[in-house]
This record gives sequence, structure tokens and C-alpha cells, in this order.
Amino acid sequence: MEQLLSALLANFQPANLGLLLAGTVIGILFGVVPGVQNVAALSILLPFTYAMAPKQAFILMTSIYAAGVFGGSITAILYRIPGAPENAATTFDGYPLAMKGQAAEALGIAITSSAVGGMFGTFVLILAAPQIAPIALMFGPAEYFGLVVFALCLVAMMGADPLKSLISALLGLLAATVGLSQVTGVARFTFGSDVLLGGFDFVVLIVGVFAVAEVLSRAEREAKGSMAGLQEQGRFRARLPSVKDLVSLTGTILRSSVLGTFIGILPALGATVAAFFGYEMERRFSKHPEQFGTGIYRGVAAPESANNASVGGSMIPLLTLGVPGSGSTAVMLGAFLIYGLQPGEALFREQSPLVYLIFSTMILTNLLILVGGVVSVPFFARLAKTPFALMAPVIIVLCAIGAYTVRYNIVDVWSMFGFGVLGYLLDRYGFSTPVFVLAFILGQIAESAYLRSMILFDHDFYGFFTRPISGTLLGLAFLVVLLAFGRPIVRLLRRSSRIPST
Amino acid sequence: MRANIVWGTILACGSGFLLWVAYRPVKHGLLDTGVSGMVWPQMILWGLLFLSLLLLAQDCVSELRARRNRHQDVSLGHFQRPILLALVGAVYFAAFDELGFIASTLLFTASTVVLLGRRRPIEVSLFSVIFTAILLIVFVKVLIVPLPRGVGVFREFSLLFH
Repeated sequence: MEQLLSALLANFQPANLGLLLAGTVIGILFGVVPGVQNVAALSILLPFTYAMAPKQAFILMTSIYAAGVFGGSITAILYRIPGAPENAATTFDGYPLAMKGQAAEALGIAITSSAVGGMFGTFVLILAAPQIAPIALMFGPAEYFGLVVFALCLVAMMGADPLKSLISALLGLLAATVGLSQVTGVARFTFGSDVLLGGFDFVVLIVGVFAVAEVLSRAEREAKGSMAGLQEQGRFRARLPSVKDLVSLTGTILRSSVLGTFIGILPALGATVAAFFGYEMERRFSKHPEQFGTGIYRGVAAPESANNASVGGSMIPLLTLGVPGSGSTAVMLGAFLIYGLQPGEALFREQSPLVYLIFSTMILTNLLILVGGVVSVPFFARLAKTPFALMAPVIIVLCAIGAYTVRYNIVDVWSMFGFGVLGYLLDRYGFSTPVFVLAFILGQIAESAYLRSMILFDHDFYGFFTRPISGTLLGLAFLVVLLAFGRPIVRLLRRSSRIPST
Repeated sequence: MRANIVWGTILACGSGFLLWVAYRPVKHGLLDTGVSGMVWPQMILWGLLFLSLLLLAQDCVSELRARRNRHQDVSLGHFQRPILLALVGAVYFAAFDELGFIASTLLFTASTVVLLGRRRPIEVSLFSVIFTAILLIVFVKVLIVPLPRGVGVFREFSLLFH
């Protein structure tokens, strides 16, 4: 408690407060602008945090991450265009409410639910993370290998196309092998280039795959005309719910927050799944499920509290075990690695002021959403109308500067561009870019854990199964793959058994 | 569906080639760990090759079925705009070192804005100049980031502002 209070005080230092405000505004802004996701904001800013002290960098990154989920609800309600996938469920009732002339009320409920949900997730994080962190001490190289394999399999198998997601994971792991091996010092896939000896910088890869690819994808969507409609309306007001409305929504917000936090903890699921599950749970357990979709307050409160609560939940595995479960948390892990910090028990022991600063930043960001949300909605709603023609060059130039400043080398700019095109193509053809990035970031951990374990086990792979944690995790990973691929195989076998033999 | 076949072929050929590279004898760098540094990439590449062939087989079957049912999706969608944008981006990155940050960013911003549908000359030129000026102030003057200055006459031009 003492640490949390001193972290809160640190947040109020002028420079830190400025970064907190800037992060919240940037987070909401990127959430608001349809087609440009929050992870792009984190990716673009990641290289610029090099110049900052770790505490300031994490205030900026955390506030962007925590605020970004809320931003998309503004356009979801006003224009039926969710700023980000996690706000898609908000359109179901948010837009009908706006059509009924209750846009201000819907926005007010979105603000309140987002803040309460985000706060709930943060408190669970504050209470649970320090208890879970010591578990990391039980993890040796074999256990880390098992954990990375399990996390990657789970994330890959949750995708729409497990085969393509698994290929994305292997591509990410492969990209991470370029350069000198950390364990053996062998140069891999450098083809004689000295620049490639250091491998691909993860900042360059993240900026390319998330930010540049996003611009190319949006250029295509704009050409298709799927972003049309944003210019048509203009109702820019928000009104916080009355006490009576708030009391009637308390159950919904709490239930969805609990569900959202739990979903956030699980790798791969994230804010989008949390929002849809939150909405669906409320609809299923409602006495009047037929009212959902017609424009009711609960239909806005449920997804918004669930998706914001998932942010706190998703930080638990990241901070305690160093395993990100989504694109945004992968970028956050990247920020830790920039400063030579390894999430886990040691982070809580040696860098507890920083950890509590992250917690306090999350609390304050959610408070800022609540306090500033009503005032700032008109501003953000107008910004959502910023023409893409003006936004695209801004993003690409910032990405180029970001990649260039990593090593002041033009090769990094080209690598970023190459990864941008690759990310766009992967995304366009149904491969998973978050899985690709996740695998790239976890690739070096996995390889080093695997090789160190093999040396430990005297080159006997079965050694992994002699340890309870690594054995269980690898077994679970196998089960996850089996479940994803098993069903289509069984269906195929059944279909073939129905064909009469001649 | 055809795109998936192209993906499967590229991935299978690529992983096959990299497997060949990975199995070539390593000339230097092997530390005394008893484990080859190529074991991990080889494992990944075998997995990638297997899955690419699986993707290829799956999509070939689907393609045959689609042909039989006369349901062919050959549309490439609105692919032109991202390709053009990527090309303009490639020219920008190529010019980054030669023209320097200021000149290349001015040209890139203006051409991207025009490419994406804004045609009014005043709007295009004002936006390019103001945006580049803001970047110059923030990165060169405030953060003192040594951005590329170009060569020859472009270097002289850049030095006016750096």
C-alpha cells in the first residue's frame, strides 16, 4: 500500500503527469481512429522511449495501453464503426442508442463502464501479481521452454485458422533465429551480411508489422470504401449516467469486469473476446434477451467494462512470468527488454517502485478516462474524422524515424518496411500478425531455454517430461494442438466412413 | 484460394532452401556446448515445411472442389492502392540517405497525400511543409536526433536547418 501511494505521488511530478496525460490522449486517439489500432501507437512510440528514463517510458506506454481500449467506443457508438476490434460489440447497442437520440447517454455509460472495468482489472492485478510472481522462481530453462511452447500453441490455436496461425508462429520463431546464436555463437541466415549478424531488432519488426502494415491495410479498406459513413453524422456529446441508471447497471458492470479480467489473464483471448463474452453473458442471463441489439444501456456497459478489465488481467502473466498474451503486451515486453528488465519475481523484488508505478499509472489513466472522458469526447469524435490521406504519411514518417533511431542505420528502415509489407500480406491472407510478433519476441527465450535444457538433460528430449511443470505444459500444448486439428480430422474421417464402399 | 496456394508454394520452397542452408557445414562460431547452433532453426524449418505442404495440399483440394462447383474467387480486391503506397514508401526510404530527411519527407508527404486522394495544391503543400517543420523542430532541435542529411546539394540544404 505504501509503495502504491508513493508511486501515485511520483505520477504527480510535472514531467510524469505530462506523460500520463499525453499517453492517455494518444491511447484514446489511436483507439478512436478506425483501422489504426492501439498496438500501432505503442509500436510507433516504442523506439522513442529509448531516450526516456525507464519510469517515464512505462508511464507513457502503460497509459497508452490502458486508455486505448476505451477510445474505440466513441466511434462505435456515434458512427457504428468500432475504432478497434475490441469495441465491435459496443456497436450492437451503442449505435441503436445513438439512433434513438441517446448518444450522449451511451457515451456516458461507455466512459463509466470503461473506467470501472479498467479499475477493477487493475486492482486484481495489484492484488494477484505479487502473489503469483514467486511462482516464477520454480521455473528453470525447461519450464520456460514448456511455457513458451504452451503459450504459443494456445495463442496460435485460438486464431480463426489454426494452421495459418501455427505457420505465423513458426515464421516468427524463424525470424528470431537470424544472426548470431546466443548460446553457441553460430551465425545463422546472415548470407555474409555483417548487419544481419545482430539479427532483426524487435523494435524494427514491431513497428513494421503493426504500424506500417496497418497503414497499408487501411489504404486497401479505404479504397474499398469500407470506412465510408464516418463523415455523415456529427453528435458530439457525452453525459454520465444518473445514480439510478448507475445502480441498475452495477451488476452488469461487475459481472463483466470479473469475466473480462479472467479472460485477460488467459493468453490469446484478450479484449475483443472479453467484450463479446461480456455482451453475450449479459444477453444470456437477461430476463429480456430480446431487448439486446435494440439499444439498451446494459448492451453498452457489458462489453465496455469487460474489454477494459481485460487490460489489467493481461498484465498479470506479462509482469509475473514474462509471457505476453497479445500484440500490445508483446510490445510492452519489448519495452522491458529495451531497459534490460526481465519480468518475473526479480522484477517485483528489485524494481518494485517501477512495478507499482505501472499499477498507479493504470489507476490514474482510468480515472482520467472517467473525469476527462465527458469533456474530451467532442474533441476525439472530431479527430476521428481526420482524413486518412493526412494520417498515412504521418504514421509512415514516424515509423521511419523510429526505425532509423534504433541504430542510426538505413538498413533498419528497410527491414521495418520489409516487415511492414510482410505483415500486411500475412494479415491480408488470414495469417496472424500478433502470433508472428509474439513468436519473434519469445523466440530467443525459447531457443536459449531449449538449448540450455538439452545440455542439462544430456541431449535427451525426454528430460522435459521428467519435470512436472515442463512436462505438464508441453502435454497441454500437445492437447491444444490436437483439439484444434483433431476436430477437422475426425469430421473428415466420419465423412469418408459414410461413403459406401464399392 | 489461389493466393493460399501461392503462399503454400513460397513457404515450402523458402523453408526447403533455408533447410539446405541450415544443413551446410558451419565453418566457425561453434562453442563447446555440445549442441549445434543450427538445431533450433532446423527444427523450426522442418515444422514450417511440413505445415506449408499441409496448407498447399489443403488448398489444392479446395481449389479443385471450387472449380468443380464453379465457385472461383479470382478477385484481388482493392490491391492497387496499398501497392502504390508501398512503392512510394520504398522510393522514400531509398531517398532517405541520398536526399536527406527534409527533402525526402517533403516529397513523400506530398506524394502520399495526393495518392490517397487529396488534390488541392495549397492543402498538399501546406500540410507537407508544416508537418516536416514540426518533425524538424521536435527531432532535430529538441531531441537532437541526427537524421540523414543527404549528399551534395541536399546536404547543403539540410545544413541550413540542422
